[in-house]
Amino acid sequence: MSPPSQKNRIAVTGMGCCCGAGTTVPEIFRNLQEKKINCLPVPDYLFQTDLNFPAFIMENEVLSAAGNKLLDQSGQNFHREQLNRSVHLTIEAAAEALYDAGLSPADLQKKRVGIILGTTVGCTFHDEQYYIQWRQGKHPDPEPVFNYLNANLAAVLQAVLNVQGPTAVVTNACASGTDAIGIARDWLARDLCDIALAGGADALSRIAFYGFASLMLLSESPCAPFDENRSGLNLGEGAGVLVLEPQVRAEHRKAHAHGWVRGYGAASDCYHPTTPDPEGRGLQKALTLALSEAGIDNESISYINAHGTGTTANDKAEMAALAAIKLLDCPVMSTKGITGHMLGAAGAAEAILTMLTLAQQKTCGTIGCVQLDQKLARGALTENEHKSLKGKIGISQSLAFGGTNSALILEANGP
Amino acid sequence: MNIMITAAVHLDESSVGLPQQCASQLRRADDFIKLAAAASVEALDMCSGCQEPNEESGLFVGTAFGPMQTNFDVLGLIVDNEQTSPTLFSHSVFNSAAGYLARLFTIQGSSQTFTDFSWPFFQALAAGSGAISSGRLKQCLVVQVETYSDLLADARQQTGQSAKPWQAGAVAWLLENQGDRTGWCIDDSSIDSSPAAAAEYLHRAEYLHVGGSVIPCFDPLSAAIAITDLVNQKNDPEKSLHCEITAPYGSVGLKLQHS
Repeated sequence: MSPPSQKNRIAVTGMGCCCGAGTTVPEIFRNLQEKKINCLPVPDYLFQTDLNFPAFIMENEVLSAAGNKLLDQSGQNFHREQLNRSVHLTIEAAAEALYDAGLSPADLQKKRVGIILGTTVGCTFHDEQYYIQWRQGKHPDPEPVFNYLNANLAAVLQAVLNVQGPTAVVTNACASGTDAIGIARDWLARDLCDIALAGGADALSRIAFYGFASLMLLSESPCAPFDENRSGLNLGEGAGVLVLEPQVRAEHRKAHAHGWVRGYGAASDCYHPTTPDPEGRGLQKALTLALSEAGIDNESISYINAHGTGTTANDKAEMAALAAIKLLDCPVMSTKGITGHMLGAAGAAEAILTMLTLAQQKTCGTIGCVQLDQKLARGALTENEHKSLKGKIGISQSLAFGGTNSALILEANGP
Repeated sequence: MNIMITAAVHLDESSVGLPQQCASQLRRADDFIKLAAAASVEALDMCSGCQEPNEESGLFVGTAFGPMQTNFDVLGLIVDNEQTSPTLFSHSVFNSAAGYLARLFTIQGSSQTFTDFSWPFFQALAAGSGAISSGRLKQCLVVQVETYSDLLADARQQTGQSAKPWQAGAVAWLLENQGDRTGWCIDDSSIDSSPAAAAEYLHRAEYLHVGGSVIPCFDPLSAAIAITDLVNQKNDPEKSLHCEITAPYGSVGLKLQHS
């Protein structure tokens, strides 16, 4: 794809996020700057476990007044208890994003609204009580099955908003949120919709928790991306939703653009089911494609929000990829130390934090990284470092199981 | 830009054998991955004049239920307090098949998995053809794979959907720029999803309207299989295919032109 003209750029006019670091975008960003870490044992209201791996978890009740209001206005008579936690997270982030964009559901009625969300847990049936009873040969009440069939995140949000337009749920593991934003950008560029809500959501499930533990990827302490003593990742839960629209439409309704999604690239490692290519070959390709689509070179990049999970293999591959394509000078950091790894939501939350960091033209360091791993192919900001940014264009990148890699080129709006 | 369907195949679980050329790489794979791989091998084999997959090739997988049985296998270990298998867990992730396919065929471009109870194949098809028409890719595999689970089968029965059991299977199409070749091209496609009661996704009253005929499609793969069969019938250069699938959860339009 060739880079669009200024007028045809895809603007970010709304952002909403909730996670273990906070329930709104401003709160999460403030806690990032203030290094408020909320990494705790998994609470019983999610599930009981004797595994000693902390996580970044939200309160039991996810929906705020704003989220509840969005559900109530739908007129669809949604029963909150029949909507799973990933759906609640989606609604909560979408409510904030729409408010931030200055849009009410009524404003969307005459528009073609694209909705695309990434998830990993949100697409699975994991009602343990139902499963246990079924396995015992009983015939449990099928309501959990119906709830599962009613939990396609994009379909639910479309029903809540009562809008028309393309919908999709991307299930590319940990890159899902980034891919959702990139695909939404394509939809808008191809005029498949007038406006798009894109992002991702994932509640923490027992399957993911035990699965990551089985792969020996979880840390028993708060994660330390890029640190020489890093010992793995912490899981988290949350959602991020961005409102995207063509710049010309945003201007028409006098909406403020936080910035623009300038480019998107995705590529495969073709290497291993769960381990990234050590040289980050797929990520190199994804970054090269995204830069090309944005029509910019490496010199224009002022900041990189890395996937930065804190696992040995991820951090090594990511830095190898950046070094290989000569992205060597701009500051790199990870925000996983404040959010944990939110799987399908990670890319969306990180795109939002990237936009805010670019807008303030300075970045904090990587929470948890005390002693930088000198064996990495390039450096990253440690916990106590801060850096001014030379410009307003940056990268948010994601790596995933299956060897999937994706990257967004984001530009913050000027002062 | 015309997007050509250079190969279209479907397989069901009774006819699938482990592809010889990738048997060793698939030895630990679950049925979800094996079915997707077998259909993809057959699609790539069918297209003798096609380019080998490379960095301009992509992969778009659609599924309604994903590796559901594998997911329950993991859950079973957890509720029994047994050691979780890392291999089983990695295969329970919904893009597991896409990851295997990318490695098996060295598909280095974009690899996307879409999960959708309504129109999984057509979601993947729209994304794949969009990627080619936008110039991102020159070639892509579009795959739908379903393996279901015993729990789902019982839930269908319990909720009164006791008709023919769904059969696991996979559909794979290979799309490329048309170039100067002749064959079926995608002229237009549309997906309209609308809210529906959850039971409709188990009942699946889909009807494919094509050429004055109506073909009932009562499982999540049927519509994609039926259109695959139409594409593979003797080509008639005069013909175009206008397919419309209707269901309580929306409709799909697909216009194919032989050129």
